[in-house]
Amino acid sequence: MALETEVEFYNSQKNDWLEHYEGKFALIKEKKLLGTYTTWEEAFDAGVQKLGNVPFLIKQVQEKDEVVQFPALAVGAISASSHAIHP
Amino acid sequence: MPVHTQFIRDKNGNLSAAGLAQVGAFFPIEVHVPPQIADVIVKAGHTVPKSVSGIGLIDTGATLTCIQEDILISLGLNPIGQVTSGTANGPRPSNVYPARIVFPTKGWTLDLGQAMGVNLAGQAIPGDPPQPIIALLGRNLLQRSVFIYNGITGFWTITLEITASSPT
Repeated sequence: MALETEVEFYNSQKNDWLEHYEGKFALIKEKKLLGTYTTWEEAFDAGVQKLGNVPFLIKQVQEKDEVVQFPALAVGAISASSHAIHP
Repeated sequence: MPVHTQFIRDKNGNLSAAGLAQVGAFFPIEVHVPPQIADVIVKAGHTVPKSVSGIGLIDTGATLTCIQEDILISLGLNPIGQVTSGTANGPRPSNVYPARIVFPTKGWTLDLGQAMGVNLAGQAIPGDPPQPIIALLGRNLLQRSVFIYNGITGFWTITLEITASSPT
């Protein structure tokens, strides 16, 4: 699965970051926080400018992640993919 | 904001509530490389991959728009997020990509911040021939729209806050 390192890093830092960046959008590459931004769009533009067209993680710093619902997935009408992506 | 109304008619040309129930609210779409990524590709001296065409089905049950992941990969896009979604086999992480959707019959362009990569293989709008569904247009698209589904009469209307428009 792509972004495994980034997701693990976010989870390891989450409690600290909640104190300083709650609600912001964190831009993460491997085990580095490259910045925090007010909107998702700002984080995306910064990620493309700093890193180019490679995988990176944009994650909103929040206590509980939003629940993402896809009833068509839940009933098996479609499938969630799990492609491994390598830059 | 531009408006599109789609009337579903039977073979005699009458509005068909049953026809709409059968096919749902769908749009011909193209999935494109977002302009920020296209700039990077061009600056690197490469050619921007050509867009992929298919059908987008409006899905009010989907939090995020879902796009066939093979298409996103073929466009050279990389994941920029991850979500956990409930599936028939329990919760599992899925990649999130940036994407640009164009509605070619209307000349509308919409930059979607986030689209989830999924496997829509085998999904199609009934017809002769069936038309492959390449995207489920979810609530992150609908939050920029007014969508009216008139199931009794057999038509639907969408007003969309688009990123750009061009003559068709």
